Amino acid sequence: MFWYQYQLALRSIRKTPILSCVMIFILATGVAVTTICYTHYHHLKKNPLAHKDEHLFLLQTDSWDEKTQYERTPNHLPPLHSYRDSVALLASDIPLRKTAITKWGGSMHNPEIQQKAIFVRGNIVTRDFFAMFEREFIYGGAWNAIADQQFQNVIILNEDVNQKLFSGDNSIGKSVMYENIQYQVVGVTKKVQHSNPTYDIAQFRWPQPDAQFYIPFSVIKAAEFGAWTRYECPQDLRDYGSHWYQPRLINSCIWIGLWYEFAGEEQKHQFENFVRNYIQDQKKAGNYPRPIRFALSSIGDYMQLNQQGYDEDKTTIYIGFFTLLVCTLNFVALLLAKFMRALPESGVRRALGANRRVIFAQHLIESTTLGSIAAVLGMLMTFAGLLYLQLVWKSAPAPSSGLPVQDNTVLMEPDFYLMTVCVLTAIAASICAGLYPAWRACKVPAANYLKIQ
Amino acid sequence: MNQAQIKQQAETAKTMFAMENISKVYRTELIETHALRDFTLQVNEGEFVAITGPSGSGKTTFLNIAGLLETYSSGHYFLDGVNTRDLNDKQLSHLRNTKIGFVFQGFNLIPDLNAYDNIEVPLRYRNMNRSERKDRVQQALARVGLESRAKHFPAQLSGGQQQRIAVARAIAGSPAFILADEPTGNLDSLMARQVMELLENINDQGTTIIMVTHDQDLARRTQRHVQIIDGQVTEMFKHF
Amino acid sequence: MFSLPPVLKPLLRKKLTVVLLGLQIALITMLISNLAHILNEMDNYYKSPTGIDDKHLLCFTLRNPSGTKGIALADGLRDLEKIKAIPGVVDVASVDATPLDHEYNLKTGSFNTSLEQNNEQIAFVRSNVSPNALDTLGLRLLAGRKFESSDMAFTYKSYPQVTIITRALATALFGENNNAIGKMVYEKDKQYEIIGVVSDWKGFAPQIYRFESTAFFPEYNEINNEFRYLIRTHSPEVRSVVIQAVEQYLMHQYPQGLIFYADKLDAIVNKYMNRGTLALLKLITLILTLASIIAIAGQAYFSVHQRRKQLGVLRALGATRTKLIAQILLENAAIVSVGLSLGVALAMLLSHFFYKTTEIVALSPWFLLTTACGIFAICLLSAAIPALQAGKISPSLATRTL
Repeated sequence: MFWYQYQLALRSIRKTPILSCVMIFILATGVAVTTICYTHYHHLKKNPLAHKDEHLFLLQTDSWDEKTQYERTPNHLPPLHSYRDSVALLASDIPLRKTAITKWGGSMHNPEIQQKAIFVRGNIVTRDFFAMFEREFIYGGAWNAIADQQFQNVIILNEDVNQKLFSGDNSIGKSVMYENIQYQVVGVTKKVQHSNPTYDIAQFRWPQPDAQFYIPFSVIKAAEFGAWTRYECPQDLRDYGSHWYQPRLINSCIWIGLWYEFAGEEQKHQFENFVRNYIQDQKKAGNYPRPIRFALSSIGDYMQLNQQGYDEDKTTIYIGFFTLLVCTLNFVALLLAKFMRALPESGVRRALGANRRVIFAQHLIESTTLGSIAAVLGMLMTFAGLLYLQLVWKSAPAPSSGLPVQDNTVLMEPDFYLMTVCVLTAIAASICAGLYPAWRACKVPAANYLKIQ
Repeated sequence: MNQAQIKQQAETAKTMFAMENISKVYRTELIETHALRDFTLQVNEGEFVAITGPSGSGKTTFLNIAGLLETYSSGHYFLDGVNTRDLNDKQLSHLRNTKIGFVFQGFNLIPDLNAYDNIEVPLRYRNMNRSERKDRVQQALARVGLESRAKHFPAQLSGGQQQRIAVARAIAGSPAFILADEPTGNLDSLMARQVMELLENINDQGTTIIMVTHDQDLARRTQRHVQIIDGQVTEMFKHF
Repeated sequence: MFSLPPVLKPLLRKKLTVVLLGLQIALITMLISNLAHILNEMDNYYKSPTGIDDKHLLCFTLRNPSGTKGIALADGLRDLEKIKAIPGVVDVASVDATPLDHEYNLKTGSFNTSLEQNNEQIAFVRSNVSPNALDTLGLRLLAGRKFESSDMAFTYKSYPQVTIITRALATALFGENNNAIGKMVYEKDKQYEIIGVVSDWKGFAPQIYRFESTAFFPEYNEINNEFRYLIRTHSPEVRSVVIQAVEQYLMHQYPQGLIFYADKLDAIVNKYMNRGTLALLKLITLILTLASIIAIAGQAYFSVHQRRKQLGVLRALGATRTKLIAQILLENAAIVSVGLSLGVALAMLLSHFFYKTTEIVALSPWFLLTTACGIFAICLLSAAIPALQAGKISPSLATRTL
């Protein structure tokens, strides 16, 4: 029975080729626009490290002013820590892994070849960083544990920089000059392009460019370095001296992020006690003037916390939804026109013994068939649209500093999930659109159309 | 009407409709089909003429040319004294609108307009003012005896009533003649008789009627009966 | 007036068709007018003047790797003199951020109008500049005085005592018509006297719909091995020559130095343009317009196609081609008008929603009216093809049994 009805539907579609094409095109446009509008939101809401949500946590402590709370994060806890606190909080042996993150930029060149230095931006981290955030290495690996305690001139480059300075060859053991200091390359990381800021989640909602190099955290004490990150100070009237750099190592200004990985709940609990005791302790020294408050949030937790932020990106989704509504309405109107024209045939079928359900099913199958074809076309259109947007994004001029800019093309990446959404939307829309016209068609009294008009 | 009266009328009556040597050729790439050949027919004011003929004889072509719905290849066609050759669309439309009242086999009422509005359609194309339109529609409705159904939509009327509304639409504009195409073709015998009586009634009041039909019985009821075979007038009967 | 059969009456009998088409047009109006509005606003913004003399400006950053001695103030001041002597250069100033470049090296702060810290803090972007920088930029002094050499402070050695602010910041601090000159502002534990108010500009970090609140401080930056030069040239064309001359000079002075942001400032405008969003909006608007044309034309086409016989009858009853075309167009115009009026209301609602959730200003009635007229024209044009087809329908269709 189904096959017979399906053939009837196909025949009916072929009978009115222009009408069918218009209907398919309109519905395909609707689902394509909807999917395109939904794409960046889908990617932004994706957590690439979701499998580590049970173990990997961002630490925030309330180190802000006595009088005013911190306003720039959803949980009103500063996203970063002062150097003084960072060193103390990293000293704990409780966590499985731990890392500090701050940023730095400067000029780098390969001393063996005469070439203009390039301008790069990288991360200052501990060796645990690479395991915690699953950075893969093309060559070499993380530096040894000693480098975290006692500064060594070691550096890890990313794929792009390795390409520029060493033409992509294995550069392990070779030297690079960074800000006039010689570093030895110990590893080359594979480039990643997450659609999520991962370790920058508390500062950014949109993805950030991959770091171009990594230097051990111990460099902060060894060299005078100007942090390339948000640098904010709570009100603190104590005098830390007037040197441009030294005060940063002892004052309360925040510029370092802290992440911890725990083996289990027990470890996390112990660490929470450690943090609580630390803050309690610091209060004696006049730090942490606010009530004790801190948070350990996984990337997933933090995204949840920042839901309101993500909602701001929903505007395009509404546009997409309304476009789909317009297209579905159009589909309904054309379907209705088509079914009404075929009423005499339905009348004959009814007279020949087809019951209402059969007529209804036949019409619904027809609209769903159109919907399926529209789904395929919509998928192609989505692909084309996203490809076009990626091209436009890529064509933006690079900054003259030569620094990498965030490649937003990752937010426009078509994937299996989106295509499924696209297909399901098209089919669901065609079924919804078909219900009323099919009902009208099956309601026709058998007798009415047997007489000649 | 007695014979003398009719004779007298025929002598004094003016010619409403005159086709002289009308030919219609349909050309396709391969063949030429002569739908009408040297077709000549004259109809006077007040006549009721039936045109019959087997399928494919050229009946429909005659109807289309007579109704100015199609052009003809050669010959002359005078409608109420106007030569219809070389007229443009606007002039043809105007002639159709003012001189011809159509009654179709399938009634051809506009389903979304009620009886009153349907009758009014040709009058509207004529830039007639509202009150005159109203008068004429009321009169036409009265003549077909359906005043009470003015607000009904076609779907709410029986076949016979629909055709009577169609007749009312045809006469409302006081045309030179009524062109009826199988006016009873879609009706059962009782209704067919009603419609036929209505047409005869209208003819009695002076309106010229040309009716195309395949029904010999109906044709016999008219004053004049013309038979078309192979695009030519083959026989003429006068039923007095 | 048109001597046509009634157009509206039959439409009232086809409520569903009218409602469906009307709703489509309403939604289309709502979407397209808002999208066009946003695109238009963005476009206007990118085209609007920056408030500075960007056509004559260049901005360089010189970075010397740490470990080398860095750029001492004396060196910097000497460089300013040397660069000023290069042919084509009118003036050269030191600044600590690149104008119109929203990403790099931005410093922010917030002012209080009293010491109590209780009242609202007014946020601003801060910039440390040499005395002549505001003239070099091309900002007009609206009130007060310019910086003088005696105002200058030196980073980590002394703090500036005075500030010059933009009009936007002055308004935010003291209200529209209050004189800001001579007033004190407080930032954390420091206080400054406002000595001048300059004209508004797009700022160091251009943001749509807002003149940037900028506070300039007379301070030389002797840190971080960086020195930034803002150069004003005689003419836009001479800039490429000047770039080369300056690069040559700097590379000679600082062989290990790295020069970047050697941009002509009007080229920077191109860089902060949000291409992604623009492209997405343009794509959606284009597709939507195309889809609506096809949708409306499609429906008009089928409403004509369905009624071929009926239209043939009308021709037989005396409708000329023109009248038939007029009738189809009138029919569509009637439905479109219903949809448009609903659409205009929805568009205002959506615009209000955008206005509340984003920074985009609400849709102006004039703009809405223009778009509505545009959509009306598009709808009628889409209906024109089927209408012309209806004109071609032969009246002989009336005698045919379909």
